[in-house]
Amino acid sequence: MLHDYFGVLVFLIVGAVVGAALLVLGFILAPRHADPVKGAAYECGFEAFEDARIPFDVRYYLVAILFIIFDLEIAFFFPWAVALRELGPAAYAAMAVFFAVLVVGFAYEWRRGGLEWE
Amino acid sequence: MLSRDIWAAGSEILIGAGSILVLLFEVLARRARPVWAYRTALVSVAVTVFLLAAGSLGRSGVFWHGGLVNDPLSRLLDIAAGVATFLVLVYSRPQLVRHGLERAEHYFLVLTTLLGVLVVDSGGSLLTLYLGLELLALSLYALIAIDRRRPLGAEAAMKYFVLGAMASALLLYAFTFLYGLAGSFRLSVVARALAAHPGSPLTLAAVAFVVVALAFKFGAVPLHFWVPDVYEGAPTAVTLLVGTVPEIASIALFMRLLGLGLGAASGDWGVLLMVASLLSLLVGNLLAVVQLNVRRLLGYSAVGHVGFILLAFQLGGRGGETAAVYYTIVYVFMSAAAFGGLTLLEARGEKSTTLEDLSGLARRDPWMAFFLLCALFSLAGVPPFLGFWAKLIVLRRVIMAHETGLAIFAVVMAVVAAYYYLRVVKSMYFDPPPAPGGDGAAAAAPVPVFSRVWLGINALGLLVLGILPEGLWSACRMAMSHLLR
Repeated sequence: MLHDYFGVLVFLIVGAVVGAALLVLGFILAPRHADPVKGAAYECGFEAFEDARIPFDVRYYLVAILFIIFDLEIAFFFPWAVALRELGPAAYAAMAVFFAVLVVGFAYEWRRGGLEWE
Repeated sequence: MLSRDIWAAGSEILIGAGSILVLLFEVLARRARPVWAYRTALVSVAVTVFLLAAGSLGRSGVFWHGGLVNDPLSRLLDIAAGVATFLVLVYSRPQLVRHGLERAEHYFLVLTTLLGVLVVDSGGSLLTLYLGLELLALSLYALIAIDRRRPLGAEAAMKYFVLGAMASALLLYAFTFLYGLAGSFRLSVVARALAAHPGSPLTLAAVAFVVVALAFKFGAVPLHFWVPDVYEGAPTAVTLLVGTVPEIASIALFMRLLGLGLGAASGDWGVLLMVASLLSLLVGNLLAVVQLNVRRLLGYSAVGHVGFILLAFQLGGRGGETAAVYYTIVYVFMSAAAFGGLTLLEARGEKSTTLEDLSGLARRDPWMAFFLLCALFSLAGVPPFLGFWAKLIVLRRVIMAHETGLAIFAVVMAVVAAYYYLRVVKSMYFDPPPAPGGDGAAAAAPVPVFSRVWLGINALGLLVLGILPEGLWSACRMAMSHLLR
């Protein structure tokens, strides 16, 4: 069984070596001229005037979460649709149940105003 | 074949359909009418319990390619979880109405909690167990934070969520080890693979991660820190749920995963569980002594009870595990009565936060005080009550395993527990009521008779079953003698 994973091991090693080599080469070969101006904060020519960690509007999170739900649903639907001919009516019924539950959830979310921006 | 599988998942499907129906009402209704959600939830739980008890649902066998296992144990635990959920629904509604928290979502989440418990009860593969556990946990996170106006609830939910996600991650990590070892998610295959490779380092790692994750879900020391905070922070009606129904899933998880799946490694997890159980007994009971907040007190005492359950479970073998299952079921109904009493007190418009709030209760509402007294005496393990038999059976098992030292320690801790339970009783019966003129007395309102009657049945049931303890015990023994995996 371990034999089956040999390819994965080779892949991991090659990935680590190549990734490290690029960083090390850049570190050794790149020209470096220290200069105080280079170390200064740069924001469109101004000094930094605000902290980057500002509170984010919760609506963005809502949109992102809703997106993830439907994204996962597509990931679920796609292989089902491709293999539907082989899977037969049972798979069709199973997906119909899943879809019905999803529609109820979607309708609830719509009804509750989860899709409205304001 | 398929219809057989679907029929086998009947109880889960019924509860799932009930929860969808609750959501559907909410979508279709012009105006929100949470009482219909309440009735739907109540009916679907009652029907499921009835069909399970009548034997129409949950017939034994292995279904869904080993994903779902119905055996007498899963049926017993399903019935216990269903009855507990029914009581939780009945107790919580008056309080929710009074505090303006009654929403259809609450009942929806209670139903999905129960659904998660049912799935865990008959989980035959690592995937099913994880699925049920996550459904249960996600519903609880949302329920704890459902009163968005209270920062304490949001804080408790956040703590529980972050720590719970961590525990789930550890559990998944352990599952990857087990899958690597067995090449299958089915518990029966995992068990065979473990028996074939005893003492492999992969097994040790898997056992360690599983024990940590399960100890967190059960609230055993040293992973108990969420328990008092959640018990205090959640709305009382939710504390009632958190303190009862999920415990059934915890013991089911212990039985399925450790008892049946990792049974071959019981030497490894037995030691870990013994340490966790002794620490739980010590820390839970000693810290409960200094609590003035009743809910924190019951939270720490829950940790102490988990110590008792694990003490029986770590002995390994069917005898110890049966005692652990019995103790858990008994504990769930004692806890339901205790928190149910507190919830109904809040529904009357009283506060039930500190010991002082409860003082003189026997004069204000003798019946309610008596029901709480039954629950507390049973929790303390006073003889005619059911809690006494639970403790006795665990201790007898421990002594039969020649661990007299552990038994003595557990008894000492039970005495400590008796002190703080009796202190609550003393404050209800012997302390003068708080000075009149506060808004508490003026706002007192009657509690619906329906809820009171069920609390009475629950509390007196602890007494009656304590006098006639044979039925429940033999039901547990029967359930544990025909296990499937």
